[in-house]
Amino acid sequence: MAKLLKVQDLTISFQQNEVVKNVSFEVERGEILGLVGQSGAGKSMTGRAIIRLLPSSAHVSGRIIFKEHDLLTLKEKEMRKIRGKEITMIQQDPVASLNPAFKVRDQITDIMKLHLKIDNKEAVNRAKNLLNEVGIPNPEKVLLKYPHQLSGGLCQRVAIAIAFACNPSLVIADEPTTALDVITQGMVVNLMKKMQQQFNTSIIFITHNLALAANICSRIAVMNDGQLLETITSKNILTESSHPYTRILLSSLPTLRRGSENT
Amino acid sequence: MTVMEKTLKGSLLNSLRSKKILVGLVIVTVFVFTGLTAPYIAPHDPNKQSLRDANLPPAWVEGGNPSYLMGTDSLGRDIFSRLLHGASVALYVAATATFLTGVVGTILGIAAGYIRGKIDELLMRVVDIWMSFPPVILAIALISLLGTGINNVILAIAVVDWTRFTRVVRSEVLAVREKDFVASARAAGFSTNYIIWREIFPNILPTIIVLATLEMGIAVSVEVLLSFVGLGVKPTTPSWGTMISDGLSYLRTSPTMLMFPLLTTMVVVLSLNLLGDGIREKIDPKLEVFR
Amino acid sequence: MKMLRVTNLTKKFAEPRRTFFGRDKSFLKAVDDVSFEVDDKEILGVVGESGSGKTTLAKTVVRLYEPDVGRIEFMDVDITHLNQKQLRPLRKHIQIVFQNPYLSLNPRRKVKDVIEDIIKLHGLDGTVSVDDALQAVGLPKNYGNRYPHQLSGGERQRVAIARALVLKPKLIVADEITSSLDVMTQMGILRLLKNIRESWETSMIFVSHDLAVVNHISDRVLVMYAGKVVEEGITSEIINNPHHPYTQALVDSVPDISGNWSPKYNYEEKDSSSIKGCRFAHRCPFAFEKCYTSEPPLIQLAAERKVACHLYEKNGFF
Repeated sequence: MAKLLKVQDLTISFQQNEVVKNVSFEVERGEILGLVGQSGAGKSMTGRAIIRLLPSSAHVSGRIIFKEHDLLTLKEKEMRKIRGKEITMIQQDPVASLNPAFKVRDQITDIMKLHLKIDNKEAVNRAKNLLNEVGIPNPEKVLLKYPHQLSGGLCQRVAIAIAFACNPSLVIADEPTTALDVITQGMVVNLMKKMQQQFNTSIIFITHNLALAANICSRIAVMNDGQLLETITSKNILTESSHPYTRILLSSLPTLRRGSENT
Repeated sequence: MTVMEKTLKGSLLNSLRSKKILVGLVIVTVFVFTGLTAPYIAPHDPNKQSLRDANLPPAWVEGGNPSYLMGTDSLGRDIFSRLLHGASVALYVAATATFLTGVVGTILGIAAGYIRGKIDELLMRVVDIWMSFPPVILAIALISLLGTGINNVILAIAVVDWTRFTRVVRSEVLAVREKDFVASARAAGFSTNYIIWREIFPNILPTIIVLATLEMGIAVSVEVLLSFVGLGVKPTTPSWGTMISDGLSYLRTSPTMLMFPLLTTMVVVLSLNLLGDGIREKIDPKLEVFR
Repeated sequence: MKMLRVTNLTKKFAEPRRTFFGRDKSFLKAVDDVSFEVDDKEILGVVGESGSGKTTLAKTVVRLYEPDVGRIEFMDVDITHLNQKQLRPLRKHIQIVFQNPYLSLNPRRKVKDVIEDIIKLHGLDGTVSVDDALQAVGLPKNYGNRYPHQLSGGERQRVAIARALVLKPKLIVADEITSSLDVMTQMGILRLLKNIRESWETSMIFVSHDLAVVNHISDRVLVMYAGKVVEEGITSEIINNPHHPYTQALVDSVPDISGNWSPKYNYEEKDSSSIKGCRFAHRCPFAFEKCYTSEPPLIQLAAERKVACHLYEKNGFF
């Protein structure tokens, strides 16, 4: 079975300054791949390069092969057909990622009407079901609210609903839990796992939290300073990781390991 | 517009808690009402002269005539009726000039701020050069070219002030386009058109409303000023500006001829500014919507 | 003598309310009736999400705010209502370090100037030197000549700590000092703090939203929610056996690298319109009628454990 996404030698630079250096990796259908690194490692840039949402001053080279097409060679018009439908994105700040001027309902239905060519009535219906899927009680009420009237956790559920609304093949989740408190984070993680299984979507989960990634992703690509250092399976993260950076990262994680002594 | 919807429903009552908005709104409402109904409620024809009734003091002063509430001017015209009609003139100028400036400023501001690139560079160069002309001279030069008259006054105001409007709208657009929800919209595959009208515009609308309100204050001041120096409305049109200029000559003998139009102008311009300021204060900076 | 004794501390902030008539200003109690103690050489952790009141607590304890109700006793001296002039000699002994190392250092002053200023202000010339302070935080001597923008985030944070250390304070309050640092730098700072506690015999209050970090460094911990302390005890015991439902949710939600992590707490905030009972009731999977009508007091369960939850009251569930 062909890989869903193949990133080859991706390099992103801003005025001679390389922020992503020759990064290559693959994503299978239905897998959750983690892109883990600290601030400035280039993981966010990589994610945005895939959906082609980098600032216009960015210089990009390499190949991003998605379902047999190199995304970097597509015209903007063609890319727009893919964004929101085949590849979607979830961002870090859930309240900020929604338009403050419109109700939740309009934001979900707009994207469905754009890509799925359905009428308003059908779209509202599907929106209600989607909100149910993401675990929102009283979807009718929430549909009529504005983003700033909802909590961060609720907004992220809405953002997740929007991301899955058109049944995408790939979701790029850019630090989707970083702005949330740790309890809500657990909820979002569970939700994303559920949606992924339900829709058999692939997810690229971008985060600085290695422990979090190890629990939601099947494989993890470790990045630092623009480079992809190694890719390891989460299950064997402690044994398989060989790169010194990964080892240091692992040893620096404060844990709640119960009963045992902390270093 | 859903922002307006939300504004009116949620925050209208809250807005009234602001003294600035309350006072400003009350006076501006009176101004607008007067301006619209002047022809129907004015007791006299503002241009009807009556030498017999010239230079009468206000009705409550000894010698006054109750049918001329605020007295008459040197040609026997009723000051109160002229004041009311002056409101119509001021309102017409303010509304039209603001509308023109607003439309031009918004469209150009959005074009420059969102599309950027060569359009932005070109436009900003034009704006810079335009703004380097002293506005008063520009206005007067235009009037000299086109002649006096209420519509030329409107044109003069728009020609001078569109640059300010454009600049402010552009900087708001620049700020909004970097926001996460705009990135979400792009990630959703929406076209530039959709993004401009559904994502950008509704979120700069509060700023545009503030700008428009302040612009109306400026427009009223400019009309009164131009009319005062004789470069504004035609002599047959009653304007607070011409009333002030007439009243100046009679300051010693009939000070009310000057005071009434002067105070009215000041109060109206002040309230438009208060209203604009009050609305500006009510805008939640994080959301760009009214609190 | 307790290093710090805080009793019934309450700090309110005015929160303008939207009503049509009149000026109904209700108050938000950022910190509501909090009491605790800090011992000599002890590191007390304070953990809670944003809005829990932990930062306000930290700032009030060092008198950056004045409490509305309650008492703060530092080394048996009542500092609750002292004015700034009276506080100045005590400032030597209580120091606070903040979250953002980029904002807490003057960009125009060299590192050594920053530290020297404090030394001169408190007349310590001769006792502590800039070099000593830099060494104590693991920075080389020549860093004294650098400007903040020439340092990394972690290095700046170390300078901020050095600045606090130079006065040999008895108590250091650290407010989210590692939250903006990457994981490796964070570990370095945590180790540094532990060293400081050993060699300088300083007590600390370590405020953080990250339970794993707090677990790594603190002896005891206060768990805060909506301005109140919901649980208090020895850190390792609380983590192994959390009592309060919120603490349980918190412990449950920290991802573990071993991969055995399945967060169970899936509840969403319901409308918290009734603030009469327990603040956590509307999110609590175990809430019963009493929880919505009366606030649970913080009660002593065992020698070193306190919980504020009706489930644990004598005539409650257990």
